Amino acid sequence: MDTRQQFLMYILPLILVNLVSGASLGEDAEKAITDIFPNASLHFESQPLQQSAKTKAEQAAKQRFSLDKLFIWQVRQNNETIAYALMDNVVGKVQPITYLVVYTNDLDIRHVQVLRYREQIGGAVQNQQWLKQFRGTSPESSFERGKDVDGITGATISVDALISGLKRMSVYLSLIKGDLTNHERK
Amino acid sequence: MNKKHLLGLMILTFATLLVNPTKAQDFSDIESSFFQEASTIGGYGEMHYNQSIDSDGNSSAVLDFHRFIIFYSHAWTENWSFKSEVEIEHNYVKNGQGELELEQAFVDYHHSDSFGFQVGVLLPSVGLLNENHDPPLFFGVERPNYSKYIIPTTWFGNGAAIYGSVRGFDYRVVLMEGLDGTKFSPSSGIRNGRQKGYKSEATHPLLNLRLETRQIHGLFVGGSYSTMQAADTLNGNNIINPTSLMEVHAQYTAGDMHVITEFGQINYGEPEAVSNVSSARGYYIDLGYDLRSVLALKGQLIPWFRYSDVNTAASTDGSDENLVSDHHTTEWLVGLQFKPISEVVFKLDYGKSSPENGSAATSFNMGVGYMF
Repeated sequence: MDTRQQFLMYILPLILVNLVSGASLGEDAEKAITDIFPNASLHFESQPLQQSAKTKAEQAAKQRFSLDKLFIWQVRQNNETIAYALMDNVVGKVQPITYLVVYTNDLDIRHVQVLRYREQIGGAVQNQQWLKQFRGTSPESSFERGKDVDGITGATISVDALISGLKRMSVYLSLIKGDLTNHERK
Repeated sequence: MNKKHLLGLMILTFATLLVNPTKAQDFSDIESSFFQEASTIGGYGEMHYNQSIDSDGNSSAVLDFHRFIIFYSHAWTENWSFKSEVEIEHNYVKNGQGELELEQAFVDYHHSDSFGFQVGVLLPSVGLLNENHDPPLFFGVERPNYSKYIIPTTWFGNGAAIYGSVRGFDYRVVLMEGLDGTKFSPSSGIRNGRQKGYKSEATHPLLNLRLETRQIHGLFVGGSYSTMQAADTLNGNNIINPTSLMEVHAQYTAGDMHVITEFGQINYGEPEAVSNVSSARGYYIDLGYDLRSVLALKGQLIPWFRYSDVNTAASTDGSDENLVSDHHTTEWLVGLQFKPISEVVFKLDYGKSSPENGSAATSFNMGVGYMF
């Protein structure tokens, strides 16, 4: 077997396996959650949005849902739900922005992370220095740019979209949280 | 395949699977929910009332729907998209008045945060406003004079760019059509040299490099350098005029306070091609304070102040020093802007413009602008 054949036999499968096994959105989300709660178990489900809660959340945030399902993890430790994590999309200038928001059991925001940003302008919304200002924010908070939340020069549309998305998801989760808990106990 | 290689392959496959363990949860069915091929529409616009009064007290007033812009974009995949911007200026196009422009139209490949490229009609990365000039994003009914005479905003043309973000620094490199060196002048700098993508002369391209960062909370700072060999072939001339534009810009927001400043300089290697002018220089500084919290308002209300100094003939080759004072203007402006929502702005401002060699003029402007 010459060098070229050895390369094809050993290296190529390695490259292919690694290409195929590139982390998916869900895996990236679970890694982010596990980084915060290393000893917890994660329970994922996607479920259709509840119409009345959807309408109320959209009105509160002045932003429509761009997905028709809720993608949620319940973070459990010692048989108790200690946190929730939601994965959602908002529309930036052109492309969708996919983000993860992690809530405490009291529905205060614990962590926000942009999982996929897909264009040139506005990428600064991925900066954790900026995202950490949402920590401790509750569904009742006003989330107003320039007042409660600092903006980012050159990223206005992405910033506004993400702020409204966080408000929308916070309100939605507060309205359906009871159903989730019941669902989990069954 | 002999046994030795078969054993090797088995060990390799096992090791690879260990490194890439089988997923506990299969998310493959949800991946497609987060991206779908789609087209989007956006835009901005602004209407202005401009009143000016000269030193003799003569007054004139204009009501103008200055700009109407539509963005149309399409994303085929997460990486490949098309973006465009079409603009109508002054409402109506006739006999050289008013303008219909294709200011952006490019294919964008976004490989990752650290690398992407664009090809088509592009905006070079110069100054704060050339790429981001939606009316709710800057103080003043009109754009700053600096953004007209030093940075020829809106500057667009045919070319290609690479861009990305590395360790918190955003970079962009643009190679595009150059400026028409026959149209540089002491009074308007390089502004009239823009080819605007119209069958662009392509033998003297422009290279534009920009670096920006937002690493310090509240502070956005950056700078750019653009260079080209501008050809002046007017009146039988055959002068190659090495022309460069260097600028720095910063915006700082601390609580309710806003500070914006820009400085730029144009250098001409062959002053003969610009009526003996060897450089142009300018700067401005804006100070604003948001009264929303103080007055418990729902929208944003910002009174602001601007001082600017622009000289399109800041230095000469020595043959005509009067040029320097003839093209030097300072200006102060005070203004107020109200944003009931972040996408809509109402503006007014009042100011005085004082040419070094000439009579001062005052201005009063009102405007409304929007973006979506």
